[in-house]
Amino acid sequence: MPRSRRFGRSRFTLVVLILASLTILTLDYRDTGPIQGLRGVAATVFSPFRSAGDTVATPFRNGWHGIFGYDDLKDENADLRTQIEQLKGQEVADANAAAENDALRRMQDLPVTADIPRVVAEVISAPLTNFDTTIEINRGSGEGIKVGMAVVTDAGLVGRVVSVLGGRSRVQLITDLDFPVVGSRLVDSGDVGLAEPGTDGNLLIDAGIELDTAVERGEALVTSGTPDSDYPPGIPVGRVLSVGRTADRTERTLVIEPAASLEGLRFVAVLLCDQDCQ
Amino acid sequence: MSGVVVARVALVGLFVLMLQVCMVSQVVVIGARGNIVLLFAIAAGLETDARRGAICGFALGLVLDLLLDTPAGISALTMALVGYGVGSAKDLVLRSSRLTNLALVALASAAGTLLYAGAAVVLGVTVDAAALPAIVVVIVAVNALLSTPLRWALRWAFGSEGQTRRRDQLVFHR
Repeated sequence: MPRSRRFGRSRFTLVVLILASLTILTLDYRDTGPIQGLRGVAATVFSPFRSAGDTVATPFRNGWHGIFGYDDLKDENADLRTQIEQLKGQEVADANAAAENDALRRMQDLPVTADIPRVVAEVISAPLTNFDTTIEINRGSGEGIKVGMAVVTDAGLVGRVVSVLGGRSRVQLITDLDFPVVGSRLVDSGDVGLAEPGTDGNLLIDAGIELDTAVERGEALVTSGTPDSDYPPGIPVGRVLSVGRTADRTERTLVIEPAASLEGLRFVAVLLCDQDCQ
Repeated sequence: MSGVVVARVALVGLFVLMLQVCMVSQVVVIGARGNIVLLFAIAAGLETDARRGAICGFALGLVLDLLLDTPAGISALTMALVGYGVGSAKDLVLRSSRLTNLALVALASAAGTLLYAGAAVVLGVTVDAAALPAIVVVIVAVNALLSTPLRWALRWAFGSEGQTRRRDQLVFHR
């Protein structure tokens, strides 16, 4: 085939593909057409391959983590041993505090996270690329999961459900830069700020915390349950990593390390409530 | 492309996608993951021509899009452009050697990643610009490492159809 004709054909194909891509982007953006349906089909079709691939890949993955993450694992192990020792001592005090807390909550008739029905789900897919901060779980609409529901681990808030596809759901992680702000309350002072995703996988609060509020590094934050928070109150959000001031020096800024570890998640729980839990 | 070639290319594509999902995406190095789906488009462009590179990039990019929560079509668009670009750039190279091919893979991987990030920003996805250098470095390294085996796989998949377009000899077209 002459070169000029081959080039013409290549360009024509490229133009067609670009137009097809733009059409798909438009349909997805407007949430019309078959894109959502196709997503469900792709997830279903790919699921057995993914399971088979996971089975084959797990030993290699573990080997990789064993070789290159050995020092981290050693450090983590030492940290965990220290924490276990500390927790043993705290256990008795915590039991007493929990009993008091339960009594107080009952008296004030506040909803608590423990009262909220939940569905435990297995994480079947981690983020697939660098620009994807969602995970997929193996529970969906059949279990009562709806878009917007909070997803937690025993450590704290992990994210929220952004799409439900039959027997699966997609969860946007709390560190996604497009994650909606989370109304968060400082446990000690009670001040409420709006936590938004920051850099390095941390969260940032730059409004709502008064300058005269004493904030210590390591102080815990939980979901506020106020109208500006989409989640039930009392879910651990994270701990204060550093404290600063806003540019106009009127409020404090807080960098928060998420309470839940988002790497290597295996099981999560979806809290089966949305606005009615506020 | 004949039916057999399409089936073989689809098989290689599926294998690449599985590798991305089950292995590559699970390994985080300096805070970033590899992207061998992008390498599929690049290798197809290198092994065949701009047209086939674009089609392969578009097809596998679209399947990846359907598995992600980012806007559907964004991977298809960028990978079609990358496949086309690599197929065209290959024709401009005086002598095709292992080194020039590796350089093309590295350049196309970096360009494809930045193109994707740019398109994502345009479409309203927030991208952490500070993380981009690490992402580019990891993707370039992983793709350079895996480019040869994937090219072998695609060479088998395209068979004689790919070989008629491949240029491993001294050539210069104007």
